[in-house]
Amino acid sequence: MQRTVFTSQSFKSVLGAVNRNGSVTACREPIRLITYLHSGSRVRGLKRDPASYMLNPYGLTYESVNKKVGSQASQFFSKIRNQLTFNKFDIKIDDRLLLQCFTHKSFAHGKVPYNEKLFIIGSHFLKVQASLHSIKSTDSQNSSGLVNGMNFDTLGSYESKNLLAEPKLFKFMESLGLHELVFWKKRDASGTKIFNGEPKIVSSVLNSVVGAILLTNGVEKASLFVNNFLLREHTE
Amino acid sequence: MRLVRIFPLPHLQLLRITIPRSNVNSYKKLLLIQNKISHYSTETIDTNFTNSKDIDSINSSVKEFSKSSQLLEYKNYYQNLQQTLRDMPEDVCNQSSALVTLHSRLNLPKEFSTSLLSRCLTCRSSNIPSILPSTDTKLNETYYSKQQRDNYGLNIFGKNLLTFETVKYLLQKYPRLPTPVLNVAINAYISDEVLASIVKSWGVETENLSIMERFLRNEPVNVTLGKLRYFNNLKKVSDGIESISKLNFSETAAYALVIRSIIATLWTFDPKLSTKFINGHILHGRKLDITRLFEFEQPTRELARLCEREKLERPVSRLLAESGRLSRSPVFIVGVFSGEEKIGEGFGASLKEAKAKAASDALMKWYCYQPTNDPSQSVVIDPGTIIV
Repeated sequence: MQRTVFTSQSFKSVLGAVNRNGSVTACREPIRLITYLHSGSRVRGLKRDPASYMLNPYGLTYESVNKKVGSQASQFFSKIRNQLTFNKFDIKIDDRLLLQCFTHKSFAHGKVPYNEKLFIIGSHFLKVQASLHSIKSTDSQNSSGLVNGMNFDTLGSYESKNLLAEPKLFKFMESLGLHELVFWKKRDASGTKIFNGEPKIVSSVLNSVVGAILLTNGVEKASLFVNNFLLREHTE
Repeated sequence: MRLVRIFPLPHLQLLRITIPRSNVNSYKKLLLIQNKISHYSTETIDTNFTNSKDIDSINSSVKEFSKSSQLLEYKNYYQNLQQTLRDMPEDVCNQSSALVTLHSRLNLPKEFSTSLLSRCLTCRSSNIPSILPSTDTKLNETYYSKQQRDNYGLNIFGKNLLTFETVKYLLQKYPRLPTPVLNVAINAYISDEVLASIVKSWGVETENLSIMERFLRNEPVNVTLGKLRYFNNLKKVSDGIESISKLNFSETAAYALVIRSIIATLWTFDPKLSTKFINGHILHGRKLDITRLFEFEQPTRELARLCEREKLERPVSRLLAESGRLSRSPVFIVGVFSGEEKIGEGFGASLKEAKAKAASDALMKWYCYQPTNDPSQSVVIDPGTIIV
């Protein structure tokens, strides 16, 4: 049985856009003529309406935030900046980068900039800072094994491993109310938080904010931010 | 729980090689005592000694022997070794030629003592157990000292530092590398195997002799201090007794621990020293062809999506040149254009192949982009890999 599928390319050739010299290769330049945008249940071959998927699980739309002006956009960014106390550490990150930090790879099929690479550099930086924290905050119970006054025996312990672990960071972000601002897509809309991996996604946002601070504001400010804000808030 | 596998042994042959004939008996006895010390039941020992005719006579000779001076000497040697490994005194470490050589070979600073270097060579798994004194020899208990100075914590910190530095280096050089390629590249620089080969090239040796053998050779303790210790050397490997425990000792992993702990120790003196060490020994001077790590499954689709996301004009492939279309081995050269600009070029034996290669070429140029060293250029932040 033969199936006929009308793709955009075949539309073009049906319309007879043949090059002047008659070559076929030049003819294959495709032009999409589809104007209908589908929303609702998925139909194969139809383009989805961006308005139906460009929003996060809490109903915040990407477009409202992505605009340069607008009350919702300014509210979004000022909330992040205030809750993460950027002013206190004199951290300057532009809106676009901040939005990238708050966008996960799962959102909109990677059509908009997402935080994967920022997360990688940020998480490795956080690991170093967390281990530094446990080396230096030593209650010298075992002073024989110190290396230049630092106690490396605390590393590898449960506390040290979980200092900036995923569940803790998620709780922290939740307490700041920032988890609702993250753009991501649930793998199953009816599934639970854990099933959809919300803790991991939200904690990765915090990691990537650290990564962005590190790349744009330098190591000093980033380590100050981690030590005096993230680690201090946790120990309290 | 320890599992012990026993193989039938050509004992006498083995002994003929290693021990002078006159010492065979005393060596047997020592082995027996060593096994007692290292906690094997008599059954295990008996099956080992298939050559000995009378087990009772051995047992009686053990009793007799345990009073002798040689056992005391061995005990002293064992305890001295244990003590030295635990405290790693500076003066003993300085006598170790291996440590001093390694120190100067790596050009380590003066503050980095040989004692610390020896600590970097001590893995936690090498902890030698002590035997609690007990009246009943069968109920002797082993316990492991927690005071042992080892490279456990140093390794964790060193690993964190090293990974961060490597990721930073790679992302500075190639900010747009896709994550799977980035991970492979990181591994190519700092996987266990690579680090182990670096440490081996420094001439670090592992301690393979059992404590008993060292005692029989009358080896000074400082020789042990200069070697990499990653298992507790209670038993001789060639005895045919292979212990299988849940601790999986790997020589490669142990070698990798050394370099990471040296990095961590250097950091305690000055963070710049550790960065310099990482750059000098691991990152710089080792060439990695990043383009060979790529493999695109659907290059044309990926390129189309990339152009859409970056708001470039849609890519168009055009035939640039061809030769021998009707021959057995035709060659086509295809260029892929976004608007007026050629973004990639490829050749192939068919139009399809050439087109795919051109798209791959364009993608490669995007992903392997290297920023200039010009400080006025702002940091390149990757918007993310294309998801097809």
